[in-house]
Amino acid sequence: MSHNLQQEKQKILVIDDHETVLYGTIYALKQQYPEADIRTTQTAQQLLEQLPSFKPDLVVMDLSIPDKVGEHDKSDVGIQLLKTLMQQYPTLNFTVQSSYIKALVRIKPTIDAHQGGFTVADKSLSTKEMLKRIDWALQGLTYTKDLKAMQSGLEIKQDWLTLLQLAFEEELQDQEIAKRMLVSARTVRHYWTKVQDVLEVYPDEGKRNIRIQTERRAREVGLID
Amino acid sequence: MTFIEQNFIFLLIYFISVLWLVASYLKSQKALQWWSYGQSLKLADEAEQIRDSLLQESCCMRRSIERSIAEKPGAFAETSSDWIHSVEFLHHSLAHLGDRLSPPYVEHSLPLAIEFLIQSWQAKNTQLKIATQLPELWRDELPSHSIIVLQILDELLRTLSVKNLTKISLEISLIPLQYELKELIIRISYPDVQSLCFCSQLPELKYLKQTFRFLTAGQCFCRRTKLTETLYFRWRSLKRN
Repeated sequence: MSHNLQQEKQKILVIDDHETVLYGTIYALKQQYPEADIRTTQTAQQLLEQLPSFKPDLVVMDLSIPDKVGEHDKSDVGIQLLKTLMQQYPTLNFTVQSSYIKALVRIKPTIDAHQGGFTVADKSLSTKEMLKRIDWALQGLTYTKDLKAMQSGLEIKQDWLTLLQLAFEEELQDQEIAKRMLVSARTVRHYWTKVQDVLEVYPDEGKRNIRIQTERRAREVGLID
Repeated sequence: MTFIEQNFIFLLIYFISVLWLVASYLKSQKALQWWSYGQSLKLADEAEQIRDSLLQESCCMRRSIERSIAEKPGAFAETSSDWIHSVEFLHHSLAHLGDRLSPPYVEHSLPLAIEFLIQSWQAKNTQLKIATQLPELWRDELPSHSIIVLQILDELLRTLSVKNLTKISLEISLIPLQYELKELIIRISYPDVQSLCFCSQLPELKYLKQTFRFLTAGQCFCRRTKLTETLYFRWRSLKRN
């Protein structure tokens, strides 16, 4: 985990209507981020009320949640809430912790366009693995490898190809790339996380350089010569 | 009564009988389509309950065990990994059960649902060679026909697998045709004439074709060239509102 992230006081909002899961997640988060301000909600409406004032760095959410108190939980509610949040807060980081992550394929275009971190964690995962996904989301990374349907056809957008060509064939730094592509530096970072997700290149504990891994993988699949 | 009058009455009875049979066929077809889709919805509800209840409970169990281990690592040293494995096994079994009751992606995208189904079959039967040609984009349609198409394909794969026809190879294509017609093409290549004769005469294949025609009001036909048999399943898709 990034040392800087541990030192900063993180603000994390967790939504899950299953109390035991909620407590389990909170317990793990408090162990990992002892200084963090962690709040919880159990319905979509409560989350929408809390979000503007709390301004979290990360939302950890279940998909199967009720819209209001007393209503039944439905995955449609979580999917719609996530879609709304990604459109209203395009740079907010998300970790989706769900027992049926396949449902996310319904909003694939919205996930592709999202500029903040976005990681998925199936509820079968260990606490350690879940915390790793949460950390990646806080770093602004994208991780959708477990959603095989999201990766089908190795869909590469033209902007991502241009990024690879400028970075590895013209050997430009991100700032130069941003100027050449007429986009912000943040957008360049966003393109990096998306292309790395499609190429299945993620930070590993061996601390290998992720850009070098990206270049090697891009050459392997023929995206660059 | 004259001969012409008698003939007229016979003809009238004949036409009324034909009309009655056609009406009866269409009524039975509607009733069975309703029944089939209703059963699929019930199974989807069961799958939803598994995902929203039992899988959540198994997650709670796992988190509780992991918390106990973290708080008192020495106390559960011998049994902790067994517990975690048991919970993992339970979770994955329930998740697979949910996927069998309600096939993933079928409500959203038939190509994705077919891809998932084929991957599941190939994981179980590594010898079965299946190539696919599935479109990335699929027009939004009501899932009632998609579920039947998927069930037909699943049953076909099961039949071929049960009959131990592992030396055959399959090519599965999904094609959107004109006028909202959709077509699933399954090309089966046999290693020899004996396999071709054995497989093409399987009663299960005939039942599958009839079931498809009846439940989707679609067409199913077959073409054979040398050692290859191609099944065409064609139906008219219903658009969502």
